[in-house]
This record gives sequence, C-alpha cells and structure tokens, in this order.
Amino acid sequence: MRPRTMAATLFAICIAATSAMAQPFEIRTVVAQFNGESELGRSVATILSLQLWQTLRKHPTPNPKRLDFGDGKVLWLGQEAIARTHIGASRASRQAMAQAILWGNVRIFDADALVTAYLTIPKGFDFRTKKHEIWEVLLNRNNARRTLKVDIPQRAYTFEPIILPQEFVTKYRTPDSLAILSSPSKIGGRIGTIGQTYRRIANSGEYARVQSGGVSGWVYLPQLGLNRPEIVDFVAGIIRIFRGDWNGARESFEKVVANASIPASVRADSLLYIIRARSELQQVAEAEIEAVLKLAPASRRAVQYAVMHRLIACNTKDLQQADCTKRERASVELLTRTHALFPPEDPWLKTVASILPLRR
Amino acid sequence: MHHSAKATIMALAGGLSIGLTGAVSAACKSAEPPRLEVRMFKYGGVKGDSAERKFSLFHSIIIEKIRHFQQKAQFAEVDVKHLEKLTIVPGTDNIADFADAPTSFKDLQNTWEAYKNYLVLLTGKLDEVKSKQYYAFSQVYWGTLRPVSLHEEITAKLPIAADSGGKTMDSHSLLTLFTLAMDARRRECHSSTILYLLQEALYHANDLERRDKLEGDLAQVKKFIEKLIASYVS
Repeated sequence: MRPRTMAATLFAICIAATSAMAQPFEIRTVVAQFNGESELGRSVATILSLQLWQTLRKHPTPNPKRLDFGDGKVLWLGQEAIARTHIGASRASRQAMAQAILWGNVRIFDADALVTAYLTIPKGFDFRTKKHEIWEVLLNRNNARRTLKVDIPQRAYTFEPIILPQEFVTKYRTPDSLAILSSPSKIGGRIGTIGQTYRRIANSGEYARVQSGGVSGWVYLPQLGLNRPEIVDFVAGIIRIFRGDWNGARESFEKVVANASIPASVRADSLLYIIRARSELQQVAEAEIEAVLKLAPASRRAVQYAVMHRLIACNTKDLQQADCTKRERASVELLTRTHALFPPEDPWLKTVASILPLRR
Repeated sequence: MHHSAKATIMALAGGLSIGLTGAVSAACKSAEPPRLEVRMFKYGGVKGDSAERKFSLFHSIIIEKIRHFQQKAQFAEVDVKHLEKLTIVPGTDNIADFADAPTSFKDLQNTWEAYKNYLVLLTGKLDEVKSKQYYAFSQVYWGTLRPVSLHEEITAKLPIAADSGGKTMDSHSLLTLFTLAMDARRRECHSSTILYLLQEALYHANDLERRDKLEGDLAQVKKFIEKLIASYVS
C-alpha cells in the first residue's frame, strides 16, 4: 500500500494533551481491519480498536506521585489486506510510525465464524531516546560495571482463536451493523452508523462515544466470542510497558494470566512482563519466575528475565549482602542448568559470566 | 551434557561491558541440507462445492499458523534462519493445485525418502458425517524423523468447524514444529536451535491439552518433547 493511501485511511485520536513531563514520543498502536469477510472483519477490528482505546491512560488515578506516561494513540486502519503476514504488518506499522499493529483474519464456516488475531511489534524503527520496553540493568560487581540488556520476550504473537456465534455473525456482517446510539444504554435510539473513519471522544463502560460521518453518539462494544478474549488486556499491557506505566502493565498482564483460555506462549510472556513490571516497582516476582520456568522450560528469555530480576534487587541499598549472595547463587544455579539455551558467544551470557562465577 | 551446550560454556569469557541480545549464528555440524517442505496431498472425499469449500477452509487454517510460526522465527535471536525457506505446498487452496496422494504406504515412504526436502507429508480424507458437516482425517507422515517409539504416521480426526479451528491449527503446527526440531537434531545443530523449536512445539502441545484431553499419538509426542527438553535443560 502506498504511504499516501495509508495516510488517507488512518484516523487517530490521542488521549488528552501533552504536558511538561510528557515523553517526547507518543506510543502508537495500529488496529487494521481484519481480512476475510470484509464487513465482519471491519466490525471485529473496530470493536477491538475501541476496546483498546478504552485502556489508554495518561496517568494513574489517583496520582499522588504525579506520574505522566506521555501520549498514547490507537490508530484505526480501515482497509482490508493491509496486513496478511507479520512482514506486511511490520511494514504497515512502520509506515504509520506505530510501535505495534493488531491484525487478523475472519472465516465464516456454516453459520458461526473463526477469528484469528495477531500482534506484530516491529523492531527498532523509531528514535525514542528512552525505550522502556528494552530492559537494561546496570550492575556493579568487584569494581566492574556491567550493563545487562534484553529485548521484549517476542515480537510476533498469535492469540487464542475467537469463535463468533451465529447471532453475532448475522448482526455484524452488514455495513450498517455498528450503530451509533443516542445514549450509552440499550434503550439509546439509533442515530447513525459508524463509518470507515471515526473519532473517539469518551468512554462509558461497554460504550464508546464516537463521531463519525457528522454524527456524534455512543457505540456498544460487545464481548467477542463466548469467553473474554485476552487480546485487549495483552495489547494494553504491551502499550503500558512501552510507556513505562509499570503498575498499569502489571494489572493488564495479571488479567491475561487470570484468563484460563489463552495460548501457552501468551501466558508465558505475560508472566515475563509481570516480572519486568515488578522489578521496576521493586516488588518480588519469585512466584511468576517459578510459573514461567515450569511453563516454558526451554525459553531463553524466561531464564534471562529471572536472572535480571534476581540481580537487579542487589542494586537496592536495603537488601542485605546475604540476600544478594543468595540471589546470585540462584542465578548461577539456573544458568548452569540452562546454558544449552544460549547460542555460542551469546553476548548476554558473556556479560553475566564476567560478573558471576558460572560453572562448566 | 550435550557437546554444543559445553561449547557455549567453553566459549564464555569476560570482556564485553554491554550484554546485548541479538541473533547469533549457531551452524549445524552436519552438511546435510534441512528438510523444509510441508507437502499436502489431495484428500479423499473432496468432491462437490460443499466439500471443496470445507477443504479450502481446512487447508487455509492449517497453513495460517505454520506461516505465522515461520515469520515469527525471523524475529528469533537464535539461529533459525533456515526457516525462511520453509514452504507449504500447495500454498493456495485451489483444489487443482493438489497432487494425488501416494496410493500405498510404501509409496508414501518412497516419496519421502526420494525427495530430500520433504519434512512431513499430509494425506487424509474428508467425511461428511451429516449434511454439510465434515470431519477431516489427517495423516502426517514424518519418515525417519520420527522418534523410534512413535508411530510412522500420526492420525488426527478433526471436525471442520469454527469451534475446532484452534485444535486443527495446533495439532498440525505441533507436528511440524516437532519434526523441524528432530530435523535440527539430525543435522547436529546447536542446542539453542533445537530447544527453540522444542519450546514452540511444547506451547502448541499445551494449547491442545488445554482445549481437550491429549490422547494417543499427540500425547506421546508431548511426552517426548518434555523428555528431550529435560535432556538438555536438566
């Protein structure tokens, strides 16, 4: 797709205004129309886009520490076939100057439909000076300073397929299915239909206030499928990690982990993000470490996150030397057991080996 | 301890002040080329518009997740670059593009052995159990890449319906990933490559188990994956 065409189809609304404390770059997430069944794909992606937008927050409430997470945007890409693969999705995301893109496919079987959703997080295209998602830990050991640095767990995700029941398919596969209502309730009268582009204004529970085609009103956002999908919570958590909203990220990923119907890889990485958030918040994450090492015994990233969580605590002045030694021993033991996960000459492991006495 | 794991530790030496993660090459010891083609033959019983449409849906959901994995591997920090060449043939759901399946098990064996690029061969049939309700009986042949304790062919019976879409995707992805791991072992690749593939396969096995009780061959595959991982990561 040509950048000009894409720019024409992009429609974005950001949350609130910037402030003096805001970060120089905003975090953007694209939601592309799902492929396959055009009207149903548009309805599904529009609902997800609005639900995701509802999770954006500029600061916590209440906000005694006067935190500011900068600006966040959810961009709507109302055109089919923008993203059919992770490679195509990366391209579309970069063109929109977005850090992530949610895309997917819809297939109608006899009456119900199957939705498969994907998240692509392209690597290193923007110029942010501080990338919260990259985890850096500065360690001082034996008069030497070492920086351990690790990327996010993965950059391509597949979510649990969603089964849309017949009633949903029948209702949302027509061009005028997403009604704009006069009030945020089921008795609100229909005053219009959400079009190809729309502007988001406000939230109220399961309703979002939008403006589309000159009409301003409320859109009902139904749950997709019989079980609550993990998609919105997970993507919201990713956005919050990128914005350095550690408490918010922990809350989002804890919702994902509490969901019984999620893929194992999404569960494992949600645990990793909780470990990261708890590390930033100086909280203990041993329960999450134990859970992720059990779920993903051959995940190199799980080992890296566990070791970094344990070592970062040694930087805090309150920690007794004996506790720090215990954490270092646990890290050495874990790395000794799992060194087969690391490629030869792995720089991360090399750095750790220059600090800790790794055994052969 | 495996030789490649030992090599990793042997290679460790202090020096770098910043530990960056990044794709690191870990070549395989064997000069044998990897097997990288998932070949799907024409399934029996695909006659008429209704059956053809169902078969197209079945084919498209099978290949969607394998393609997802293939592309995901491009972001990996271990050496799985060879997966860029992983192909699923045919790549379209046009019935005319599907070759007839080998007529006997012996032919299937010969086909797999003759074409050194074949990873797994998919054959099977479609059964219309009720009006417009179809089941796919899928058979996955993995030649000498199978562990000796497992059957030469893995069979999966799956309804072609939206609510079994996840199961269909995961069962075929699990077998493809596990066979890729076995192929990496055959080529004596570094443990980091083999373990990456085994972990991905384990995720799919766990997802199948979460949806339904894992039985028969697929349960055996999961046990084998866990055993293999434990042999590297004690």
